[in-house]
Amino acid sequence: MKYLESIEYTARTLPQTPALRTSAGDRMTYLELWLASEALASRIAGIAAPGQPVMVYGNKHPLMVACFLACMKAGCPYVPVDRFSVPPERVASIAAQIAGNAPLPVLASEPFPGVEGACAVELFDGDELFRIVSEGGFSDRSRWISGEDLAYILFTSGSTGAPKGVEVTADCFDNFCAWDLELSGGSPAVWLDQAPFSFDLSVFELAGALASGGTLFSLVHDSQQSASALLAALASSGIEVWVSTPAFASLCLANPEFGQGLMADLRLSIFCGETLPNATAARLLERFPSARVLNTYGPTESTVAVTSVEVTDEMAGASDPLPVGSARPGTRIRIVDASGAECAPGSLGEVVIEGDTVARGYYRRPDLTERSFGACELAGAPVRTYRTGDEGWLDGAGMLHYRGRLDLQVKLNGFRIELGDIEEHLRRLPEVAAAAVVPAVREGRVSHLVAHVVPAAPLSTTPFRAGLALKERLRGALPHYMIPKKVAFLDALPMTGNGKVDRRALAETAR
Amino acid sequence: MERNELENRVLDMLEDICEDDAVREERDVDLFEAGLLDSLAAIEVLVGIEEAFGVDIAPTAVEREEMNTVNKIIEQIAVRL
Repeated sequence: MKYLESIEYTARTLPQTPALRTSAGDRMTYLELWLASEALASRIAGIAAPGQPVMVYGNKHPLMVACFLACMKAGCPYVPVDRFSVPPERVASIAAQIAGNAPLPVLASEPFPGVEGACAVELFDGDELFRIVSEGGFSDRSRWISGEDLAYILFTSGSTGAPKGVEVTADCFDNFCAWDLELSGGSPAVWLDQAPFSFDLSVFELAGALASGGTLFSLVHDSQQSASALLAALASSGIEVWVSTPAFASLCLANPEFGQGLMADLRLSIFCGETLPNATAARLLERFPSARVLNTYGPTESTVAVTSVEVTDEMAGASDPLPVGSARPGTRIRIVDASGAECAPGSLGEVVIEGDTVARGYYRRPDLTERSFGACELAGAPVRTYRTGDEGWLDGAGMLHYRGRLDLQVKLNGFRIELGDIEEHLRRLPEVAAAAVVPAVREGRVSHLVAHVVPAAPLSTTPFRAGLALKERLRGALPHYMIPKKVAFLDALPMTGNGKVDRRALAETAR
Repeated sequence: MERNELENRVLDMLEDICEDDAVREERDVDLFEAGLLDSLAAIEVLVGIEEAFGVDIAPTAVEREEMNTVNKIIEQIAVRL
């Protein structure tokens, strides 16, 4: 795998270069990172067969990154799970899906909640991980992943209540990484690492920083809990390449200090995960005159992102929404209609991604894989295709313009959410007879979610208190960003003529 | 400004941002725990306070625990007026 070889090259030629720094003060040089991942790989190989997924649980500790590399070296796909985004019930659901015959290896740099009888677990806690690293050891190079071997399995919201695991191969990772380096110039830089590792936006900086001999600067959870802590962390970061969702950037922009004075070295900002509003781009260009702004697009199923465009002052100032850009080398974008036939240039349809970064499918879900993935030929080579469910159009210059979803998936602050996932968890509660969740849209973007609930029995308290209680129940099962802001109680859900929940009518009442 | 008027204007604003009229009654509920405010909505509150009262509170000037209920938000404005 090229990625591992690039890191090895820096570890051998410039071993004392800082590879990882966190806002909590933890750090690792390239040499330390390399040796830690060697020792951990040796241990993982002793307990897991090649191809057996390994759960890597934590927040932003350097050990977590060492574990990712160790899994690549041991031939085992890593499954990143962030402590603060993934609640215990969800952790158990993921564990049950990736368990094999032997106990599931869990490398936990944060206290592990357990998996409630989902499967047997072989837990390595933080102390144990440190002990393995200090004892040392070496990986078996014949087990390093390559080609179609899986690099990681990333779980995203699934419409039926259980998350689904996207299988990203070693080639997908390397091919994405090559483009990532092209976008960022490829010279060693300090990269912001803000998004949780269970969100593949973070692969932008994991790949870009470490493959170029640069430094990953990770914002731990605590540093993101107050504006003063956040600004203090950013001020001491030396960040040169910024990667985040637009929502996180607009949060930062609310502070007048957030500008080139705070981060003098910033030269590039990369956005992905949701629509970049023109106003956010314009303010960034104004506050950071030395930093270019890139808008990018892509689902987890095609490895982080596949299109990009540099946002100019003129584009940001225009009334047209920003395009998401043109396809990277190795990717072709097609727009198709409901029957799968190619749309006329310029007309709206479903976005299909074809190319050398399309994932293998959904882990152990051939049914879901068959529905969305396919195969074709691109420049003479066989590649996979993925029907995104996104709606968009291609302009004359080959720029993709994103318009929204064709189904019940929404993006809220960059997080990908299947409304059916939330509804299923609501319906499982005994106090709920029926439920539908709809997004509330303000100024063209999803501002929050509203759950419309038909109670199973008359409420014994105020609707507000009953809503709070329901939200509390959901919190054990769903990530925080999937908890509806508001719960509205109804006697019955409105229905359309053909007997489906009338979501449009519900969206109207949410306004 | 009368205390009553202050409270009403804050309640109007919070009802709008939290999308829930229950904030008028539930003045000691932790709005973050209740899922009615998140980091972005908290910024909206600060902007709203500046617009409605001319009171400028920087995001860095207050910690979350100092502005997580309706009553605390009213108090933060009152001491600055």
